[in-house]
Amino acid sequence: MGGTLPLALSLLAVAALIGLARWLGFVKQGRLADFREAEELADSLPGGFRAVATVLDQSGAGALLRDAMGRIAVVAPKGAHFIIRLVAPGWRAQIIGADVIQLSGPDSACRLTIGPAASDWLDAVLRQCESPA
Amino acid sequence: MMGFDPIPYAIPAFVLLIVAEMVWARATARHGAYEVRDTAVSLGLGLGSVVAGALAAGAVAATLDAAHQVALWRIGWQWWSWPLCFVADDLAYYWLHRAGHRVRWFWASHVNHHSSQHYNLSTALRQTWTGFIAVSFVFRLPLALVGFEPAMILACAGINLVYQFWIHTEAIGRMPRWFEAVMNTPTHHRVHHATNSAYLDRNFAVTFIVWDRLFGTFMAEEPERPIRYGIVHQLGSFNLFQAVFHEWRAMARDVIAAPWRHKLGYLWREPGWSHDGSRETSDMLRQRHARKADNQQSP
Repeated sequence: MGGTLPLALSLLAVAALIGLARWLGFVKQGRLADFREAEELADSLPGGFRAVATVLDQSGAGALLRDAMGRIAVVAPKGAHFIIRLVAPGWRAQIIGADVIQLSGPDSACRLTIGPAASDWLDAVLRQCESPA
Repeated sequence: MMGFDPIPYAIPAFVLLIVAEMVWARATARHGAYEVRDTAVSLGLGLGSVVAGALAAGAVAATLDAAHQVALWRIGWQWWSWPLCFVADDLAYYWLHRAGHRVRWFWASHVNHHSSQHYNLSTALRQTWTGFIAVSFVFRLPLALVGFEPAMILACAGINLVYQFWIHTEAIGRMPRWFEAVMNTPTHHRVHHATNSAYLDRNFAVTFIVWDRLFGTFMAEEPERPIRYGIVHQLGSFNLFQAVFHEWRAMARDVIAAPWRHKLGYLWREPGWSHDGSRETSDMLRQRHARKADNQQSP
């Protein structure tokens, strides 16, 4: 009994706090302000990342960036923030409709609405998916 | 050995203060201050750490007791030994914390405390489940060997842990100057949780910031350098178990894949170290960004 009641009360408190966070509306998705923000985030990749081309999701929910070597960085949404990943062999990508690109890697996935450039970006992404490790 | 553990008594206050901070964030339109899934992971880690701590408590206490048996002195329970023990524990905690960032073995256990991209009071509860596996308690053995009572050491460690709660917030800007000079505060600890290169591996203090000032690891928060929180390679999901074990798994993968003469390096070198130089440590990141800043300034 000694540890059961405090544990039960703690579980109750955890559930109540999660419920309160939801009720207060802490479920907002992050939005990139502009290209520069996406480029700054991508620069945190090991060795840095200097983008020569960037495309933002139409609602700012992510971005794709390409550097001079053809590497592709993905700025993918994660809750109110973003994670940054370099596309590598093993990633998968496809076009949905005409202007949505869907990408999935070992620990992240995202769907970005980037307009008519989607097919060009898909080609660039697929080159990295298939390039030797 | 039965000791005083302040943490169970502090939990109701933790809950009320998190509620107050959420209400403040909502009232001031800081919609990114909390994220419900992130909060769930933080609270799950906190709850799990209490269970893990309870499971390991007997072994930790027995180890401290064994060290105390061969202590140089017997300090006992005199009133003055309490503040002395608290300061000594805080110093031990500083080095434990510093090792937690500079040695990958300890980082694997500590990283979950940093894996939130938010900085709020629930982040304070992101405590490790694997501290016992990492043998982090060895940093407190010198206190028992010097002669402090094991129960007193554990009580001081608990008080130190409770102190850390309130500094995990953006709701408090700066405290009075005299307080900022001596004590760890929200502004000092925000720097510690930053992923900005300039801020990496700074402000390891727990209660007294003087240790960072003394050992050269202090950095003040700079208004022109907005903080990004989390870890350099941010987690890709809100999975609780991924948060707990991801670095242990990554470390095991690296050790298995590394050539024999480099295997140990993946355990005891700093996070980000690699034998082929393909990754970046915090020192390398800081140097790269310093060079970039220099290049931008030079004509």
